[in-house]
Amino acid sequence: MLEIKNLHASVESKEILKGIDLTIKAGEMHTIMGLNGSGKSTLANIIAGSEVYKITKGTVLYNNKDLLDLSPEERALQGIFLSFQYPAVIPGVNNTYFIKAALNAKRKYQGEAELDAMDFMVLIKEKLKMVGMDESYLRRSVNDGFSGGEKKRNEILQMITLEPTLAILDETDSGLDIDALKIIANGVNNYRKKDNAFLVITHYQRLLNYIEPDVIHVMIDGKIVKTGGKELALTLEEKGYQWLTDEATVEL
Amino acid sequence: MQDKSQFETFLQWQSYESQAMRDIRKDAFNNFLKIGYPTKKHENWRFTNLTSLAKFEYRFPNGEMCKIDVDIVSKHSIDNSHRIVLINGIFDSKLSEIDDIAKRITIKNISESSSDLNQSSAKNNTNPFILLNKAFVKGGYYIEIDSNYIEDKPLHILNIISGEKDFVQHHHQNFIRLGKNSQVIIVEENININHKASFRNTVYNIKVDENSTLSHILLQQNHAKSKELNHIFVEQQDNSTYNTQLINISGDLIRNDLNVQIDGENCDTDISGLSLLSGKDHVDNYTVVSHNKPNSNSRQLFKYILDESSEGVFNGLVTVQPDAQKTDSRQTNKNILLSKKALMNSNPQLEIYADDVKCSHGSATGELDEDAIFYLRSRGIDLMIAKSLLLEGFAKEVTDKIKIDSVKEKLNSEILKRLTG
Repeated sequence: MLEIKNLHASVESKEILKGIDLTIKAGEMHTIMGLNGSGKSTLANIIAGSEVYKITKGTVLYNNKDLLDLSPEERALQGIFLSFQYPAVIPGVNNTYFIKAALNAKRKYQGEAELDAMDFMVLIKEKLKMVGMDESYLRRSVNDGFSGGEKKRNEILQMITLEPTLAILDETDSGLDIDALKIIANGVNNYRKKDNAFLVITHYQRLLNYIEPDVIHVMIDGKIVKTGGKELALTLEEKGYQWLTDEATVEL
Repeated sequence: MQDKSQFETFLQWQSYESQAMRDIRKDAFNNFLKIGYPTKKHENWRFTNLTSLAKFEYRFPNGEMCKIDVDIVSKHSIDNSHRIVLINGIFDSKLSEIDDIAKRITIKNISESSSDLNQSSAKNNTNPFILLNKAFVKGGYYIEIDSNYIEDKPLHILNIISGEKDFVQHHHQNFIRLGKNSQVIIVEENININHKASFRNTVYNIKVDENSTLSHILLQQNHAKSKELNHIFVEQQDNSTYNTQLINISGDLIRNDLNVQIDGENCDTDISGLSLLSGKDHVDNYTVVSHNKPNSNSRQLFKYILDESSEGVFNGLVTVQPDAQKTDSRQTNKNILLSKKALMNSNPQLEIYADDVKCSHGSATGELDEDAIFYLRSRGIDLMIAKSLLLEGFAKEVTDKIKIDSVKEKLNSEILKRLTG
């Protein structure tokens, strides 16, 4: 589904990604762990189409087609979704109107009839329940005055409404209390299917108590330095990242 | 440029007027000649280029017959409203629809009540354009709402400028008077058909008596050859409410000088503005809100969306006089520049002479939020739609104050046009 080869990217001539290789197949859930500043969010934003970064080398294929050629909206229409670490706050734009516009853009792209206001309300109310949000969120402006946890729930609400093929969760678990974490994990687990995939970026092993990734990658200084199974997270929990840094240095 | 011979000719046309009126005109014109057009050296005209106005000789619409296509009126009609049509300042009873309110609301042409003419709050004003208005005033409306009368349907005033000739000047005086315990909504549209160069210079005299509420929406939709100046004087008495929205949708030059004197206690004053500018549009909003009595609230919110080489100016002064304790005043100006060539000058000011007051002001100018655009696009929303959503959202604080759906829709479609046009 997603095939990244030797991806290098920089911002203001500072190289942030220094050769990423990553392949994600349908039905899989991958997790990237690593310290702050290792380039995890950069990778997530590049996949979603951010124009802040300059791609200097490498390729990204999505369903065997060049992803880097596509605009952010085209990527979204083709099934890519990013749950932002810091979702934008948009005063004056109604949350319901926004999600409805996004869903209908996608339906239109897929050749389906757009949902009218009534049908959309039925759908969104059902989705709201799944992430433990009440209907008052629909009347508010997009993320305006939302707490950190509310913003993250709003991201997951959008994910389960838009039904992406590849969902990237960028530290969606950060700053959440345990109840909110369970709700988010639940949203993710319910949405796991054999024909879609996840890329979950996190600092903490904590989230992995609730969702079970197939593959774990560790990213340090713009590179994936270690890839393993579920047990890798436990090792990281126990030993931290230092041993991997040492290992990487030795390899050099 | 106005010269003496032009004034003499004008005065001859007005020979039917009283000597007193003619003397006022003469005085005003002589004072104008002494002062002349303001230049950029004048503090209040620093950002406003008036050279093109001073350069050309603008004639008068006198005697010119104006036929208005009924379609134009229906194109601008607002559902469920009373319609008042003025063409070049002259009330057109055929195109207007006001029969059913005639008992409680007086609507007439200003010339019929000339005792009010030039006897306004602008009496001793030395603004050269107000002097010109005094010297050349011809046309305008007089609207008086009876005491104890609440009108639910908005009064929709279409102020049409029309004519076959280029460079025509129009000096009008408009009066809005609300008796005690009355209420009315006025939607006033200044439009300019025929696309001829014109200069419209209007003085408004607005009085809101005790316990009354006036909502005044002014839509200014001109074209690239039109200049429009408004001097709006407002007086508020005890427990009155004055809401106004100044909506500037294009025009070579639009200048609004709004002066609100809060002469009563417990008043509410809500002034807002939305400017949608492109091309070489230039819009100035100069406001003065003077709190003269205690316990009143004033709110000001001006938002500008500036594209291409357009320019905007917001200059807002709030004064709180020594008597005006417990004043609560807020003033905000926010602007979005859509182009590197667009320019905004913002100058909010406060002068406070009382000690127990709550006052704030602020101003911010920036571009569209790139993070917000990316966020919307990452959800499959097209770039242009993402931008228009953000602009609509930006304008919403002002458009939400307008309770008439058709006017609101019109504004939102104008915002959309900024991006696709």
